Amino acid sequence: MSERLAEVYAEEWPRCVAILTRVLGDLERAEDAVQDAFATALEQWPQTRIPDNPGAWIVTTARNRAIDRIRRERVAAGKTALLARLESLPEDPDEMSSLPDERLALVFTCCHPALAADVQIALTLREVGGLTTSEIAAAFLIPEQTMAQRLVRAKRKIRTAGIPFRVPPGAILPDRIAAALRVLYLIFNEGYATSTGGVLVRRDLCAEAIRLTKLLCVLMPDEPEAFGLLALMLLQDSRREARLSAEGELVLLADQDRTLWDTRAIDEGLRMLARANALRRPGIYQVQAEIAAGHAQGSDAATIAFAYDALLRLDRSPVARLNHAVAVALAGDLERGLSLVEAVEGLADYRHYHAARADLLRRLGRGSEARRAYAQALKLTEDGPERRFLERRLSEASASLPE
Amino acid sequence: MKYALLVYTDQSSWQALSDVESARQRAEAMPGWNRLFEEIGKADPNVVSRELASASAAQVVRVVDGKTVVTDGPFAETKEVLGGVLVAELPDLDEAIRLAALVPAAEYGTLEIRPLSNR
Amino acid sequence: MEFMALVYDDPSGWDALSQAEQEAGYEMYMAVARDATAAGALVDGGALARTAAATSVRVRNGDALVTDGPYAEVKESLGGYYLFSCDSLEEAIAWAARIPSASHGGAVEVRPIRVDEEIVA
Repeated sequence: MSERLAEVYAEEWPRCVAILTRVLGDLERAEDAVQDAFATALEQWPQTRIPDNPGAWIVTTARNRAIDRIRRERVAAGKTALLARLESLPEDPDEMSSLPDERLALVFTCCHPALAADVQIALTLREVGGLTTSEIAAAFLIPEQTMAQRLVRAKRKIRTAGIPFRVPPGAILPDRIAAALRVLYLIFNEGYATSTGGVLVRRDLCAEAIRLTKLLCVLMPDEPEAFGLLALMLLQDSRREARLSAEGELVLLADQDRTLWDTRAIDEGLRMLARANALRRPGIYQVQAEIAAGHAQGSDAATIAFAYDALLRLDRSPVARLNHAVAVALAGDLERGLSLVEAVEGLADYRHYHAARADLLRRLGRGSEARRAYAQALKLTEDGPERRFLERRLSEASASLPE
Repeated sequence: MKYALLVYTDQSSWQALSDVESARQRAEAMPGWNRLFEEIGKADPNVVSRELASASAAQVVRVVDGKTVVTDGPFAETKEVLGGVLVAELPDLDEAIRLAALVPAAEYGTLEIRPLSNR
Repeated sequence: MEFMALVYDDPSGWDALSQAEQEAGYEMYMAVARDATAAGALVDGGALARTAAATSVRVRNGDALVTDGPYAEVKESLGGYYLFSCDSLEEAIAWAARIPSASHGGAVEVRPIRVDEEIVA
């Protein structure tokens, strides 16, 4: 029962919070009401069984709870108006056969650029993902109290700053879609990184990011970048069993045991990429997915480098330029790759910049420079498989390479 | 909801300009400002907007032991200083953002959007 | 002549006050507004929400960059404004001195309004 309940919670929480937010015009009130309703569900459903339409049950219960709450408040701004709006919802689940879908508005509200990035992530996981505050805190290795405060402040900002609850209008929609995808990818990367640190979380963040991106694809079936991002995540995630050795050490892509790759995830990723391509509007996630697909299908380094060229045309950020430079090097032109790496500015605090530079210097036999670069990368790398890998490279470089 | 759009710019380079050059730059920015005023006026015909004299012309007023004490200069020594204020009744933050981005100074300074609190 | 009085205070100082003290504080801010209005000296005024509710916008290379927070992290933030219309700077300063934050650890910055027919709406 409790596993089924957890599924229902994850599925219905965003649906119901979104509907109540639309009706109440206030995310915090909506969340309180839906929380109340789920608390009641948790008490009653084990005895009575889960209703056929759990969402309708939650919405109508939340409506009734919210009405009680507001009536009890002595001073509530716009009390009459709020009650009238709540009364527009049916009182009885049987009167509510289909639920309106307001989840897309919820996604865009949680990913609004007026909220700080870490807040967007936490709020998206809470409201769209249905994760509890303590689950989110655990996933990010942050005290629960801190995470709870972060969420409270987020909802307060939405209210006081007047962040609207809606799907943004056409003029700003592309930017806002990009912002939402960025949040989802950040969640995925957090999961991808912490998995190598061996941190166990109740909800695997990668799986959560994939689930939320699938939801976004359902809600925006004509948005190629949503499918591109989903493809990218599935293809990257397909390698998770091969990324660490039995001893917990980092295994580079080139050295991975391909029999450990998840072929179902690869197939699904390739299908999603095809769906994205069919919409004929290239974008950075689609191109990155092409690259990941290339790796998954054993494409040669030159093909991969070519795909990075395409990415560079869409994304001139320092990180994209770094990745392109590395791809050029790995395709065979080490010297050109190194000079391209060194031409990228602004990455002095980015450990991958120094690690990439170190690796190319190592391959070119420039020992002392390679050692210095590894040392710089280590200064920026926390404990874990990545750090141990760099330390090994540093000691190998010290042992074998000339001054 | 009423919003204040606070225009913050680094006035130091402005101070260094000759009268002729600063007049020329102001003239160049005119179409941008006109467009902004047209848009914000459509949103709220009662918009209040004022340009402030440079921060060097500021006076800070404090009352210490019942006596008014006035010091020359701005209150805060920050790189960017407040140069203008626009206050308008707008439907939501997205509209405030849209208008803030139309302010010519947003291209080299910072527009801070703050809701007015109900008091 | 118009003058902008910018009210600076420390929000944590305000939070430390009791409910009653805050009510009294509001009353004092309103009293200045009322009296200035009665004297024909107040054009506009308002209290600003805390910096937690602030959003910053910068346009760089044609892109609007929107971020959470104020233009800079400063200890004493802008809490409100009064737009006065007076015959002299001295008169504006006299009104500013009556604003509570001036005598309660904050400060009021008075600045003349720039008169430029082309720019002012």
